[in-house]
Amino acid sequence: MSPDVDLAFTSATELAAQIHDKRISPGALLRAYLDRIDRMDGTLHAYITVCREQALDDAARCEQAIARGERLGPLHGVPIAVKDQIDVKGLRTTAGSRLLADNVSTSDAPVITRLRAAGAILLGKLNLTEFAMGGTQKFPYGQPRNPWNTEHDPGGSSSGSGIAAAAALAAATLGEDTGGSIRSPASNCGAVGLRPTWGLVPRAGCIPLCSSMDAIGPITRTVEDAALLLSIIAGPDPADPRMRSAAPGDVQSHLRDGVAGLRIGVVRELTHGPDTDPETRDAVLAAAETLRKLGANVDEVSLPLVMLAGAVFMALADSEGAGMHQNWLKTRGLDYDTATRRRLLAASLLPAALYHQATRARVLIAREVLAALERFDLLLTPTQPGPAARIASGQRPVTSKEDAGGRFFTRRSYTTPFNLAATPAISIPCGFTKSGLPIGLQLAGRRYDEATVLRAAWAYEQATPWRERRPPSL
Amino acid sequence: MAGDNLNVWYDPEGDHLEIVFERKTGHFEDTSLENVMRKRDAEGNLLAISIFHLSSFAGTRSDPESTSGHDLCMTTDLSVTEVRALALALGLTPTDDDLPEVTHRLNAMRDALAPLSALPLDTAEPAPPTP
Repeated sequence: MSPDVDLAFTSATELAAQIHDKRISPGALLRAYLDRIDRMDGTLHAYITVCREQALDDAARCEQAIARGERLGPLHGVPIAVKDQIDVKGLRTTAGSRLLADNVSTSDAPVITRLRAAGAILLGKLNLTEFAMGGTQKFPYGQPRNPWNTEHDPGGSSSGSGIAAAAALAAATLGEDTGGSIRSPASNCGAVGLRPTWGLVPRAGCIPLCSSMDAIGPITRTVEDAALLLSIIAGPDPADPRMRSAAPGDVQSHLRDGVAGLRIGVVRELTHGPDTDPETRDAVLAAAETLRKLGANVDEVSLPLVMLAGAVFMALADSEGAGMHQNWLKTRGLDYDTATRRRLLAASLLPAALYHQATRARVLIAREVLAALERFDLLLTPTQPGPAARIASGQRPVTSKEDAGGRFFTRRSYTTPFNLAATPAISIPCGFTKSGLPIGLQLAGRRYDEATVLRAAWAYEQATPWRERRPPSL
Repeated sequence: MAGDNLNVWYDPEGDHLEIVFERKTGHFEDTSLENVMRKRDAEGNLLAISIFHLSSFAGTRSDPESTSGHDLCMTTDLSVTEVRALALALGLTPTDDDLPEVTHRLNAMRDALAPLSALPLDTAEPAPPTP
């Protein structure tokens, strides 16, 4: 590997340390990422907007601050990119839609303010499925592609965040997860994706999909980087009383405490279920065995309701999305991607009684998850039923209700139980298929106990070789 | 299912309701609901639903406040025509190309949510998570 490639794949934590120690300059680091973006993003389409000039100016300011001996933030001079669902002052926020092609933000979202305060350089805004809904057929800003195999889906909705983290097109990224939108691309792309507890990270300035489940979080190359980014973006938002007012817990100082004594429940329905691909199941069970060898008490747990979670989630999130999009559906329907429009139209016609039943079913599913988290510190599942599918397979027409059910509900049942329960969950790489595609392991914890989730993820990451693999050079 | 040919027939003397979606050779089969049978063709397409003793069927609802029980599990596929009519009633104008997929998606959603009525939903008060 060339030094520039090694530099680009270095963790954000280590890059910040190298900048602090003057082993590398912010400008040189930024140029390494810009060079990779120039060479690779014409194929991968991770970015919608690259802030080249502004980022170079910011890097120069970072270098001047270092020269003046100023106190540096924990991300000083580190290039970070964010999902194009999050407002950055002066830049457009498209949410991956033609409808918002000219939507220029007038202020920074709180998470952007916090990244800037930590010294981060905003490198650009990342591609996503339209309005973070998933299933986009024709991406208006380029078809995002999986860096491990460009014929395969990078996952969504934070597609560009997963690609940019995995392919080292940024030091680290932010995504947003309503039903799996951070964990799915992390799993498909072989990255680390943390969905924080709902209420921990300010949601203001992020175009909503479902207000009771939307959560901004990091997608990174290492667990330590996820902890670093979370420590920067988490915390009360005085302007949003729906967010938690208590100070966030310390997620960094206990990262290396190990898993000895932790109780981990392997969710039977999602691990051994008929929809789980055998290679994925075997990799996840091997990961559970690794955690057991590291000292965790691993046992199986049954959560019978989780297989309903995908449909319940879609009833809630799609109905809310349909409500928000009614005016545009009526006046600008053809400006949506075909799949988004059809999904919103179907959700618009869902009977209110079924929606109401789904709100109650959400409580039952959440109760089941939370009860299991009384017995266990963590729940363990595959992040997805299988590895990344071919892009073409997701673009074929829906041919029957059975086809629709299989494509839209089953997969979401792996991630959405923890969205419905408002608990944190992380996806970390736990192996590769024979064809070379990453497999994701999901660990979910108690509300606001990101520290334990990250601690177990870090212990597993350090005990396995997966983080050392890099996608093939393009 | 051909929604264009929908026929609803009620025999008050026999207290028998029949909803015919398509007149075609098929076979009747039991459902999980007492007094209710459905008719399918060889490909499994739903052709008709028959409800016997309709008035007593309504009386089997033990608790009108309840949202539990198999009595709410029944779903009948909507046709493209019906979905178009529903959409138009709401001021939405799906294209002809949209309608088959919208119909599949909506029917899939209704099917997927049908099992919810068998859950103890009465015990769960819907409330958003508290931060």
